[in-house]
Amino acid sequence: MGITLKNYTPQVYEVKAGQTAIEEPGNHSEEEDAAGETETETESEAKTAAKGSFDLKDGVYQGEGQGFGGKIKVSVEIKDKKIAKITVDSVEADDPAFFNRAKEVIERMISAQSLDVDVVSGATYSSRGIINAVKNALTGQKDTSAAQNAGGAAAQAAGSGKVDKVKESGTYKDGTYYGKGTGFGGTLKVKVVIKNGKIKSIKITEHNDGSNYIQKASAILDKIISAQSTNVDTISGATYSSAGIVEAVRDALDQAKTTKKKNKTNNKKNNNKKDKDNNNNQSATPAGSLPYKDGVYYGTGEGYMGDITVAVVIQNKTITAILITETDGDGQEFLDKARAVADNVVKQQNTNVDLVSGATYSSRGILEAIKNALAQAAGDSEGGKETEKPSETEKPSETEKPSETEKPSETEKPAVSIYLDGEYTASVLCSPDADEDFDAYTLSAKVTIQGDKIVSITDIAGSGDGYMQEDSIYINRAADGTKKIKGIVAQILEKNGTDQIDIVSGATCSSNALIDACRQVLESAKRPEEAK
Amino acid sequence: MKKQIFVFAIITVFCLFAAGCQKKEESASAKEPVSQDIFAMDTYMTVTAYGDAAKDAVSDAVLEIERLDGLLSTGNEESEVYALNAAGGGNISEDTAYLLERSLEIWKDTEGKFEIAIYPLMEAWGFADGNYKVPSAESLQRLLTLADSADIIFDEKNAAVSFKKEGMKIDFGGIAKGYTSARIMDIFREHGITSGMVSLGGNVQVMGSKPDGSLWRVAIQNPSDTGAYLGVLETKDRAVITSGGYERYFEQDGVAYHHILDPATGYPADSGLTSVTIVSADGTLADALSTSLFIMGRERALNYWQDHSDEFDTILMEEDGTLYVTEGIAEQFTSEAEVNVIKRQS
Repeated sequence: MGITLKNYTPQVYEVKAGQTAIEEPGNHSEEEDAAGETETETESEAKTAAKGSFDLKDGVYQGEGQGFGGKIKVSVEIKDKKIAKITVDSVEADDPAFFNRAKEVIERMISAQSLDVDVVSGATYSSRGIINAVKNALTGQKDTSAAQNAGGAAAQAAGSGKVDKVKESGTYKDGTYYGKGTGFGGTLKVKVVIKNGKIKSIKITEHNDGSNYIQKASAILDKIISAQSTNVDTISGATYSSAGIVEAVRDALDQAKTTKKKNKTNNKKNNNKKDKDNNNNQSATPAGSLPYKDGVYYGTGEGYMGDITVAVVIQNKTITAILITETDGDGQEFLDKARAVADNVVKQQNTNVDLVSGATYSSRGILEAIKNALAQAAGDSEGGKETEKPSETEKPSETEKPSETEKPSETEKPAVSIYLDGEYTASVLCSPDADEDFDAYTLSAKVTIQGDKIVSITDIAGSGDGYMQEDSIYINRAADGTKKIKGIVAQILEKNGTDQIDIVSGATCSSNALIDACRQVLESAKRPEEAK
Repeated sequence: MKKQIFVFAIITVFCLFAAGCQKKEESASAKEPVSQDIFAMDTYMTVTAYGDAAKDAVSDAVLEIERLDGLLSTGNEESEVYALNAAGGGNISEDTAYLLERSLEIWKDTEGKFEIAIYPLMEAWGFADGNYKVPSAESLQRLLTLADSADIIFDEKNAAVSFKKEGMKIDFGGIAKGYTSARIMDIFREHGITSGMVSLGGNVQVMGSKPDGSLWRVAIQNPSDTGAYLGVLETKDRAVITSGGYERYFEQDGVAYHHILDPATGYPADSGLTSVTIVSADGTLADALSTSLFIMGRERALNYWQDHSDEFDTILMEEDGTLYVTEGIAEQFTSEAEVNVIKRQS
């Protein structure tokens, strides 16, 4: 898991609007590639001439910082008291996907001519590592933060439903420690008390999960205390919350460690003594012979709760890496599996598997996304698209969602106004049918009517006793739809009414409630004379 | 802001190709699959069908999954199985009766390795509700006396079932998903679907071949590495169902306990096998046998196959990674690892 990506040196191109979407490797000056053990070069020229404030002799300074998985080394070039260039010399173990995102801080530092810049959210450790490495180079200040140990692998990825085992020292410094993790709905904090070197008590101090989930998940606290270890199983039925707790406790225990040491990650759950592991440690990507041009191609597929977008990197006719760039609603557990599928495609150099027997999770969504990306690569190689002008690429296509301002055809325009203009708010009860497993909640939405047209549907939200964080996923799915299924909002705006709206599968109840709410609004917005 | 630009760029790239491909897609629309993902029976499921009636077939299949889940779930207080377990017997509907019949038949045939009366033990280990714990040897001994299908009295005529001992409980968990995928094949057939596939939490069943006439390629999960496959099986009209101790397990005091309990001991089966795949036209059988053969171990599993080689084929992996594949599917199975082919003894 994830391991495969670690050893690659994928060529990653930044895509920007207004440029040709995919750049050639040759004419690439801004950001040249990424993380790898051997060498990497990230150069960013100082474009804006901020005033020099670094009282250092011109020259190149080297420094190191602690990234997510290991050390990050940089060279910083100082010219006229300014940072002229920051080059990443080596990255020990950070995931290229995160590290690439993290590299944004280099530009931030250069353009601000300051080391006091914000970290890149979603790549906190890596970007902090880069900043600290630059600090180390220029000020000699050492980065004292320890590498994230195995638990951290889950820490960086929000909402891990899967908990890997970690090595633990078993004895801790007495005291009270606070830790942070990610539950289902967001940050989850715990207080851990260590006494006589043992975990004495754990308390959840803050969470954003449903209280019944937290209640269920709390069973894991006793497990951790009785086992004196966080290597316990998550509570089924409250996987995300309990995984968040484990993560938070690990975070706290990290601070309570008696010795600061770097833990090598030990993600393998399998304790087979003879595990040969020959697939896992594959460090070289097999050479491919794919008929595609080098570049990064994007594709989207449908996961369980929303869309998955992947970036497929093609180099020398080989798929060198597949990065999952965007997901809508799928949990970390699903994504871990999806990543495993992606790794497999990299190994096999094709998507030639229809299904996997024995794998709990369907790989359909991710495979679909990868295939779509490769289909683009195929189209690209045929069409010679790099000659095309950016302006043409920006032309909206029919596949795009209709924008909210889209007008119904004029012939449909009624002669007399039917509805009163205004903003209306409607609330509808969304109650589960026999097969559905959630508590009834109230769904409300604000509908704006102008000139007999529904111009916007906003503030769609759930509330009430039965409303839980999880419901928002369904509400969003119903409102916005997926890449394949048009959302209720778009449909209603398009049809300017509530008739013949297709519900969004997988969010039936929310869809119906939203349609009902709009129907209610239309009813109450009718001009009195029309109502007669 | 940054994110918006990024998204916009993706859309831009997308449109470019969407515009060029539109025509092609339209003409091929009949070959586009209809697919739906649902979460049921405590696992992730995907149903896919090709053809004109695919949309109806898939939505009917999803309804069927939900119906069977509502009938067979041990945890749902409104299910038939729940009522049966709570009352120690009762009248059962057609589906439950069929499953009970098949379960008892396979129980007999596997000499008790397939055991639906194992549920009290599953509960004791916490596999029923996730509160995992290692039960005491005493309680296991006591519960083992309840875990015997010989004590299930099934009156076929009146579709009534009763348990001889108080506290007995049954669970179709080892067979329900296979039955469900088999039922989906029926539904596909009723809709005239000739090409489709389902994965019910890793239980795969395919109908016909792919729309282009080629065989389905079903990969087998590697039990020791989620990012790798044991190999790939090319097949059509078959269920491909894999059991292993790697999906559901917990650890205590450094020992891993998985969820496939040996009805003879009450402990997780320790037969030397880490993965068992059953390939059969009968999804119900394939599901039941995947756990049964896992419990049997290589030697007995292969003996069992010798006696039933007309009903199924199997792929076994041992702890040391040795792979065995039976004759009937040997040619359709490809693996990077060395494969030992088991021939029929005539």
